[in-house]
Amino acid sequence: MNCQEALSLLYDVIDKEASEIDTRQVEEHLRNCRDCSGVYRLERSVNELLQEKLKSQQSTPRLDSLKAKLLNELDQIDCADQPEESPKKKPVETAAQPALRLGRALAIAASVIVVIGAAWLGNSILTDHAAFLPLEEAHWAAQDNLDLYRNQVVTSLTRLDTRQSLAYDVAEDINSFTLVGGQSETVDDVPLTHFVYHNENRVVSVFVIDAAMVTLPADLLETLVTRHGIQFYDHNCRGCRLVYHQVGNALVVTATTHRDIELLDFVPDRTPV
Amino acid sequence: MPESQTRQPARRKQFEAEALPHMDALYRTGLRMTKNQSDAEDLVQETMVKAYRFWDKFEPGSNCRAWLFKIMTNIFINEYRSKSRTPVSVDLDDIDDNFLYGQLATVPSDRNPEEELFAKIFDDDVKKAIEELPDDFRLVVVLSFLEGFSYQEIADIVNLQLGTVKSRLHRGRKLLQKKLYDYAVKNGYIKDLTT
Repeated sequence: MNCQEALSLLYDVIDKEASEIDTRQVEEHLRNCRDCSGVYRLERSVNELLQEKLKSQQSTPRLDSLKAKLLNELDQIDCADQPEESPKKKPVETAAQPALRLGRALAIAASVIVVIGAAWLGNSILTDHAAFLPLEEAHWAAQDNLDLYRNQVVTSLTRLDTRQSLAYDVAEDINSFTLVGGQSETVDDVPLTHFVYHNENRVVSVFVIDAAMVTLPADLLETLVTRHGIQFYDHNCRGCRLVYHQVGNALVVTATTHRDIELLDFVPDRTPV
Repeated sequence: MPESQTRQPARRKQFEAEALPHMDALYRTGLRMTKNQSDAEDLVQETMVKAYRFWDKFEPGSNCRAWLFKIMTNIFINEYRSKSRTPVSVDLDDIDDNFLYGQLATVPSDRNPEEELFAKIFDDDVKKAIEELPDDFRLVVVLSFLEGFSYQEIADIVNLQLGTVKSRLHRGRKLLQKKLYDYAVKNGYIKDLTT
């Protein structure tokens, strides 16, 4: 085993996640390599330090009163005679609403992503950023010239086409946002449909692309996020926030310059056909 | 109330025996997640109530602790995590993998340089360093360092792929090392050798 191999297994070994064989080979290497054993020694010390300090910091909480409060609430649940009742009946906080509204369809979509993810990501029909940059520009254009997109007749036709080609639908009224327009474009031979939503002062662009036509850039994979049980990539690119989410065979890219827009609202709420 | 307790004694008893003992651990991790006592208490309370409501979904004999942490993590991510998420892909790449090792190697010392440094680092320094980590990183770091969950368990709890967990843990560690080094320099424990 050489230094590079030994160092690549650093944390696996320290966290005791490496295989027995790997661990043995690393130990053998460390006996003969001063540099690597120095790195390992340091990392182990950092590990111990962090574990020790983290554990020592437990401020003794009001755990007793917390437990009493909990048991009290459990009594009430038992009393209500419907312990398995879903929390729907409780007042739902706003943050949880998209999850409820989006519901089953997205749970299905999320599992679809997991299943087809590997094959899909390995598919390198289009491997660079090029396909995504014009989308960003389109978004800026829409923001500057909203009137160009507003009330365009093409909208309904485009949506119909998209629905048929992608077996896909887009929610029409998303909270305060209204669909103001849409058009079909071709970027580097990749056909896509571009929708523009707006409310009083915000614009959101949504691009729907045939997922088989694109491969996500590698650095994007680092930004995988799960919220409300939905997996998507949350990416910042030159001041533009982009969310990539796949539903069935459609890749939905949502673009906005405002970070406080709840992009999950723009994740469609219908099951792909 | 006594009536209801006699009606469902098994369920309640089972929950109290299996889930309740994990409350301490949930709380200490909740504290690291939310960074304040009252939010942590609410988070734990909400977690336990939800766990009780969905107790039927828990498979007896499976890992109850991991199941509870998964519930708590979900609630945290959905309801407590700050809305304006800091982008996860920025300003981490400039930390060299062997940053701390490289720095400490140049400190003249009779003893191990890290011993010298770590002897002087206070609990508060570590606490602050952890709290300053972005949410995504803090979550996996705390689950690993404080709770000792395996990579796979963390992946299940946070609902991420194994590779993502490993990479966040890796980067979280590097960020922590950099921060601890910076504190040490700032407080004069060691001299800054980067300049």
